[in-house]
Amino acid sequence: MILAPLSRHRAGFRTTGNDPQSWRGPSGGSDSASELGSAREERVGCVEKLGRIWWTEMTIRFVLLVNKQGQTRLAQYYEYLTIEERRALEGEIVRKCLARPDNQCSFVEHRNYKIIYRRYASLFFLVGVDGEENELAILEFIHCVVETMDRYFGNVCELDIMFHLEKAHFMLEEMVMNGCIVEINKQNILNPLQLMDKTT
Amino acid sequence: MGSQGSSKDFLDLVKAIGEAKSKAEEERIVLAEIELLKKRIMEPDVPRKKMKEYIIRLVYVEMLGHDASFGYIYAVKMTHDDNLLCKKSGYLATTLFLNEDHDLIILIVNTIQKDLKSDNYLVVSAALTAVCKLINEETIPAVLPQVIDLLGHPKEHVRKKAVMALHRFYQRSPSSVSHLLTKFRQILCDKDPSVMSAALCALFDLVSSDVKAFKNLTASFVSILKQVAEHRLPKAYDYHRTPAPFVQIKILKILALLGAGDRHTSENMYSVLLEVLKRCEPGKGEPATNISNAILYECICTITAIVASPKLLGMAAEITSRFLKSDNHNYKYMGIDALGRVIQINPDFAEQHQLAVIDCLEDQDDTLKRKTLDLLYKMTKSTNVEVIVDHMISYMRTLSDAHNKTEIASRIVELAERFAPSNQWFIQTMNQVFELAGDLVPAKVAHDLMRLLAKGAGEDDEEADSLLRSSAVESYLQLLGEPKLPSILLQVVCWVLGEFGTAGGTHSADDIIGKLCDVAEAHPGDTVVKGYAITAITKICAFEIAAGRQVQLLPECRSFMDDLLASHSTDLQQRAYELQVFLGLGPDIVQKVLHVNGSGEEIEIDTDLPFLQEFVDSSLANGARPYVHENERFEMSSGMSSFVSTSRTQQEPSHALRFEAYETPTVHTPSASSSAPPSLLPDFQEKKPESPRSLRNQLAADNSQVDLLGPEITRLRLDGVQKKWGRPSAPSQPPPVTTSNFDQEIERSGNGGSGVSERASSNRESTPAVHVYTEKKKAQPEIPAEKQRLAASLFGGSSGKRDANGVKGSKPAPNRPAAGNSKEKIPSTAQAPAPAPLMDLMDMGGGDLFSAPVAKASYDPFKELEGLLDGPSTAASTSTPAAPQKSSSIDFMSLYDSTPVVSHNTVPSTNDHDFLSLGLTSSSGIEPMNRPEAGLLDLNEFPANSPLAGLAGLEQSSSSSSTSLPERKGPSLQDSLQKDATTRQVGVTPTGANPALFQDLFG
Repeated sequence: MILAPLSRHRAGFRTTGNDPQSWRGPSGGSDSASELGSAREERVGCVEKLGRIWWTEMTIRFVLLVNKQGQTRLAQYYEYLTIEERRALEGEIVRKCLARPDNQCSFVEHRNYKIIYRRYASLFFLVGVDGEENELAILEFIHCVVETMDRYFGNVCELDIMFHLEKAHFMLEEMVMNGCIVEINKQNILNPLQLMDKTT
Repeated sequence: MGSQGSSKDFLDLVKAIGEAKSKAEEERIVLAEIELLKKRIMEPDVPRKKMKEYIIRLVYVEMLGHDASFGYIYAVKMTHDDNLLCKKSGYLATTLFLNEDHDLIILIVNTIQKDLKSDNYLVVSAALTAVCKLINEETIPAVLPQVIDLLGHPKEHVRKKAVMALHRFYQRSPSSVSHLLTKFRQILCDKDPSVMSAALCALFDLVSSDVKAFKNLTASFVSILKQVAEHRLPKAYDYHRTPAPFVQIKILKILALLGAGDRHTSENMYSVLLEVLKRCEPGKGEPATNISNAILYECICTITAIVASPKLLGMAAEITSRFLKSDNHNYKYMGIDALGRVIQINPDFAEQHQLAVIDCLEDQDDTLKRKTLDLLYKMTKSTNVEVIVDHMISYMRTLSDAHNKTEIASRIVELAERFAPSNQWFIQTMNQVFELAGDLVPAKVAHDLMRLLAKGAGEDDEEADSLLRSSAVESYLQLLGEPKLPSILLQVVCWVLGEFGTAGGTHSADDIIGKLCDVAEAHPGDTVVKGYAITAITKICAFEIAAGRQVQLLPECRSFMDDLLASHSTDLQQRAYELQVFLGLGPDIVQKVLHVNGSGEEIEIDTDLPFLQEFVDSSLANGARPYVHENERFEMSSGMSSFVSTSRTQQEPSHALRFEAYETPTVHTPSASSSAPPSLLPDFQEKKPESPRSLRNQLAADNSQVDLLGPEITRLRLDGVQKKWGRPSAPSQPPPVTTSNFDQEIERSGNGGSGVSERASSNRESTPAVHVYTEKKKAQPEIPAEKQRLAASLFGGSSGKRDANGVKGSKPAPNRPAAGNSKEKIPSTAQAPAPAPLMDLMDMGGGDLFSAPVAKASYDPFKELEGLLDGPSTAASTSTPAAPQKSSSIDFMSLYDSTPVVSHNTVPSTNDHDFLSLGLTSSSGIEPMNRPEAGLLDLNEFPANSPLAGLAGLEQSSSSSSTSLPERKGPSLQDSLQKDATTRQVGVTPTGANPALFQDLFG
């Protein structure tokens, strides 16, 4: 019962405006240019549109806290990656970012991501975004996260986050949803946490 | 904060992980933890608090890269807990562990539904947070009504999360919330700022998918932005005294979407943009904060996206300058990005910042360097392409990962194809790209390169062509010395050596063959390279035989051939057999079959196969069934098909779509198939030149005034050259033959480009002196000379750029009305910032220009029809005297049933596999679709070119050579037909029917 609407739904979504059989990726195009002409352009357009939707879907792809030895201290992904993928990605990113001197810019391009990072004492905060994001704003967002944690833990340090991993996550949940920054009002962010602390 | 409430176990774990000195130690701790948890977590009656701790420990396990799936179910269970903290932890762990398609999701939907109804708003918001991560397409309906209800929840905290949940649904499945669009608009007016800002996230996605539908919200966005900028929101929403910066940025992004290409909408934004800019400017004496700079940057993005006023553009430029001048690398990075946006509207602007750009380019900072290369890529034109591509290549050398390499390589290829100043340079650049990026480069690039070599410069300058080829041969021979070459480069090398290796006379056939054998031997696993190598050897042998020399295969080559004869790949086998057969043939035949330098030859195929007339006649006399044309057989009902059927037998440019299916292969495998391996050879050898040539025919047909379209075919697209940089009055060389594209240059020419033609040298020395750039030089006298030269070659270097460039660029120009370019001129002549950002944006997407020739080459149905219409009438007029022969020749074709397929020979091979299969006979199994065609061709062509039909072949070739000239010019079907008919008569029945001939003979 569940499967039937599911498959219908999916088919409907994927095929908006084009025929699944003849669908080709944008790269496989040139071979059929002469025969398919305008039809192909349409398809490519559609693909680009889909790509665009995916593009705007997320601005922030992940938030990562890593100490200066490269050990992960907090990881929140806003798209699904398998454990192996995460592991590989984190390894690559950490290698890239931690090797950079302080005076270089705080942005690194890696695969399809742009990583914006900032260092606080022994902790690196890394945020992965996709292409069209305002890097400076993300840089300030990181600072805002740190300020919020500071306000809650009081002079936050690596161990605070380790001992209260879930609380750090709760804060982040309030600040970022669906990969978008939704809240930077520290009172709004911490309110639920403080209420919860009171009850327990 | 202390760590109250945690057990000693947990504290120890955290401590141990925290103190781990190495990855291996951490690994060991985690593995031990997994074992421990597996045991403990399954114990009955674990107290809730303990359980919560276990769950958090599971989170640790996964975070550190190990699988904790054994505990997922406990996390799901935890969400049922009544205790809020436990419930939230349960939800948190679930969202971290599971993706939305996990099997356990179904267990959690029920809990979520229950929690959404809770009285405790924190429980509701926890559930909504989980909804955002865990609900997939098919479970949306299960929670959608409740989520919609929650939009009216008294707590703003809940309303905000409900909006985000809907946003998530929209991302997952736009149709699920399509009825709620008005709701999103309403929420925008929510009295709570955080709910409103959540609505902005959703609206941003909605707007970007359908701008038109939301134009009417422009005023609302503008007024919200105005209020935010004016500091009307509570102080709590400030960040470092900047009011709600992320709200501002989001709205600016939305405005950019709404205002793009829409003057009216854009005008409504001017005042608010000015306001935002003004408020973000730092006060006197205080440094600008990051966050206000972030907003300023976003303003630049918006201003350059919409139809902006000159004032706004001026401010955007000013901020960009400030970024670029900053010492902070982050600002420089933003500045480079902003510069890329600003120059799309006002190309002049770049000049002031050339030194800043060069500094960034030469910086140690990899990110900055890349960003700068991005910028340079956008502003490449023919005058600076060499410098920029040089930089890109040297940057590519430093790269190791495939992703970046692929990207840079494709950019280099694109720039080289569009702006190459000379073929020589192009070949060299391509070689470098192949060498560095290897198999990351698409095969098409290699084929284009081969085509370029085969065609030469496209001018009738044989000497230059052969110089080009011999230089290519030399460079490749040198290249072969290097140890590890990518397969694709080896393919090119083999092909080039096969075609031109011995042409220059400097290398003996044995030399080249030896090299080719080495190549094949060094790559035993690569059948494609082997195929290229054996074919190249075949060609060289053929040339030798044709030249009357005795070919004695080297022993290693002999063994290579023997190897292939026994190869598992039928393709390689076929090639080896071909070589074998060739070695046994005499010079006369070989000369006919494989011309030296055959890749440039033009081959005409007489589809009537007149030399088989006799055979047909006798077959008919023996009672064979007369040939019925394919189209008649299929009896297509449309009017068009009748035209087709009458004219198909003529040689039409038959790149039309075939509407009928290909025949089953059994039909056309009569006698021919058994007899001849050599048949394939003429096939690939002749088809190869056919491809570019017929493409050219096609183009010529499209545009009858131009005959030679060399550059067109080789894809050296010089007409895409645009002025992106520098001011219109900059000195430059006008190519004397220019047309529309180069008008700009002509305009500029007055300013005194001195007609120097060695571009590199003149560029570097002369330009800085003339340029506006001098102003800069005065300001900073200590700039090193090297940098100045670089600046000149990048920015000002438009002088002395004519030679190959201009001449070639002029060629394709008349073909293409150059939509982009004519637009492009407007901004450059008018000094004011261009009012057409859209056009500029389109121009920037260089891909369009590049893909143009493909589209161009795709066939023009109307031309096609014209040809068809011509067909019948000419057939009628010319064939009257020859009627009997003609009809019987058609009959004969029934034996070869698929004759029309021969026409595929002339299909312009705009695509790469065609080329591949042509150059290669057909590469093994790569193109299953093309194979049948090739097969058909072989069969059909066999009689024409096989040694058996030597005489007939001669006759045919003479007839075709007589027709080839007019044929190439386009719609001269009549001529060729007439001549065909004449030749046929002469050849077969020299009686009666041709008075002119008799006059020649007797009178």
